[in-house]
Amino acid sequence: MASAKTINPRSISSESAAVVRPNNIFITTMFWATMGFLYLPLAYLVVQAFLTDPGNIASGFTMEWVLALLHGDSLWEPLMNSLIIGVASATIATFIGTLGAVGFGPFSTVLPPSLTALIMLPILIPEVITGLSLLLFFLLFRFELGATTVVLAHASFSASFVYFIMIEQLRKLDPHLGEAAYDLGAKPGQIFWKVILPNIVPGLMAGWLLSFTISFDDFLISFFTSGAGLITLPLKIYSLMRIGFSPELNAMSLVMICLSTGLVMVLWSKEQSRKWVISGS
Amino acid sequence: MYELRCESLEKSFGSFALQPLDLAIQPGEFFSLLGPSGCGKTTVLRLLGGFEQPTGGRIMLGDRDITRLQPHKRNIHTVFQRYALFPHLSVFENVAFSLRLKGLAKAEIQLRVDEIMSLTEIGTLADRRIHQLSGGQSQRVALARALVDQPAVLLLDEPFSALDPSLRVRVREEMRTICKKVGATFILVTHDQEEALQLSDRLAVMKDGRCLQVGTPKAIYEDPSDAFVASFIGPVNEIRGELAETQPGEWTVSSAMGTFKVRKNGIALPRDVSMLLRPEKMRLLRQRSNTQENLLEGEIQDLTYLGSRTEYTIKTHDNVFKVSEAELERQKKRLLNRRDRVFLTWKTEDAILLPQSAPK
Repeated sequence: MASAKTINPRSISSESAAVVRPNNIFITTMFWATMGFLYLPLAYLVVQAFLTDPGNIASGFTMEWVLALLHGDSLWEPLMNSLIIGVASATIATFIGTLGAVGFGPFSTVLPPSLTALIMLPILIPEVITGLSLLLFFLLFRFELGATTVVLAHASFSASFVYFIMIEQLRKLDPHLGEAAYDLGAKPGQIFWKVILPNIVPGLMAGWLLSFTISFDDFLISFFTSGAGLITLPLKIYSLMRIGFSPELNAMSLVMICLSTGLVMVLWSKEQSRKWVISGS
Repeated sequence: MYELRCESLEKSFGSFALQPLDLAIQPGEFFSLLGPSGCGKTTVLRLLGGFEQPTGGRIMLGDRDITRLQPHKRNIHTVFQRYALFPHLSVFENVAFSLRLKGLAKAEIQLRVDEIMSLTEIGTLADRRIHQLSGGQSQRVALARALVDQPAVLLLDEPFSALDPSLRVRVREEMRTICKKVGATFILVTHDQEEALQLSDRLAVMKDGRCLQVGTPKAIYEDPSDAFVASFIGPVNEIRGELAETQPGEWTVSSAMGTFKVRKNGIALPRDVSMLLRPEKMRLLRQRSNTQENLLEGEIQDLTYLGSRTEYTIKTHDNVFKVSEAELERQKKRLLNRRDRVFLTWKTEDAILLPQSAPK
């Protein structure tokens, strides 16, 4: 019995490995099951876009549908609309969200904490309601529905996200940064341009890209606020689907997947290069 | 070089109120505001720096009233608690910030920045990024950035609290050297009495928005104006008793532990007084001595060896005394252990006599 109590490093390591291994298998299985659930449908959609006869994997692969889409004119108008609306609304949302965060954030005490809930509300309200309320609002003031109303709707929705990203960004800064600049002779405008802004660029980029993605992917709010004439990429995909599944629909979905993941890649690589600069220099 | 004066300076917000404060800080002086958190020391600093407006009184620098001036027009700069260095700029650009805003010529900026950076010994760090600096280096960059403009007064807001405790003593020494070289007036805010004693020419002890005492470290340590100042600036033993004049000019304090001789200084005292004794002013006797005037018998409850000194906790009657004995003195004597009987004594003039404060 006494010998069993003496500590043998070898027996401990093998014992602990035996305890850990089943956990590892469980975790690994859960991981791949989750990944499969998330990405297999997407992968199937991508494969479909390249099948000669969609729905029949045995029919072989072709670039025919993708090329037809790229050379036809059903893709380009909705795509350009989506890109323009995305850029415009992301820019407006970033501007408003950042102003809000700088004005009401950790560098100011103007806004009581309870009121920040009001800024969070657009994120929590169901999109259908947001879309409907915006539509009613635009009609009330006799706005002509079109690109402008979609941009305004997307911007108002995305600004909340930008606000929270920027608040977090500002919290990472020394709370006395602004006062230090003021003390050294900077005017309020100079404090913002020379000290605050250069230190929140990563947040600005993240906020802008997130807003762009939200706008680019949005269907519901665009559906309510675009009126009859304007069509964005998600609206186009929806209208094609109502006619029926088609090779064109698959190819268009492929384009959307590529553009959206492309954006995430940009964001990720920027983040990585920034980390690399900091740790590498 | 100008004298900095607070004249009945007042500030109230919420439930806090800074009581009318009068202070005169000499040119080139290193002055500390010492007190526990919430005592108003940071408020005074922010009023002096121009980040808050007082609700009454004024601030004078020389014969100029600077009460309502913006921070950068006061000839006073602040070094913030976590230094607030600009992370997107190099060390050189951080230091040059105020000069660039003034639109000085490039050559002049280079000259003045180089000069202050060599004074603060950060010359080799010019091209570093802020996140590459150690705590001590960051502090010197913050000092250089605030000093490059040649302010008359520099305000330091707990500048050592962001540092590793093991670094603090050394960094404080470096800071004192730099301050004496610069010749500006320095005002330090701190809750650390050791820091205040080590650095200050004079200090003010504050509590609950009130300035309790202003004086040199020695005066405040040895002649505190009240029990709070006495215990905040260093550990102290208290004996409460009644003051009586036994013969003309001879005063005693009689307490539950016995009657002790005291020397009464000029100030008027009530009948109920506190006798305060610093641990290092008390001596331990191994045997009873009849030549000592003030004697207390007790038992060693605990002792801590600290190298240069040994600290004892001694129980007498119902009281516990802290006594600190220098190592040099200890070596000459028999070693003491827990539960040894000992006698405590002190020189009559080392007892600090104060009116009794309300029981804690």
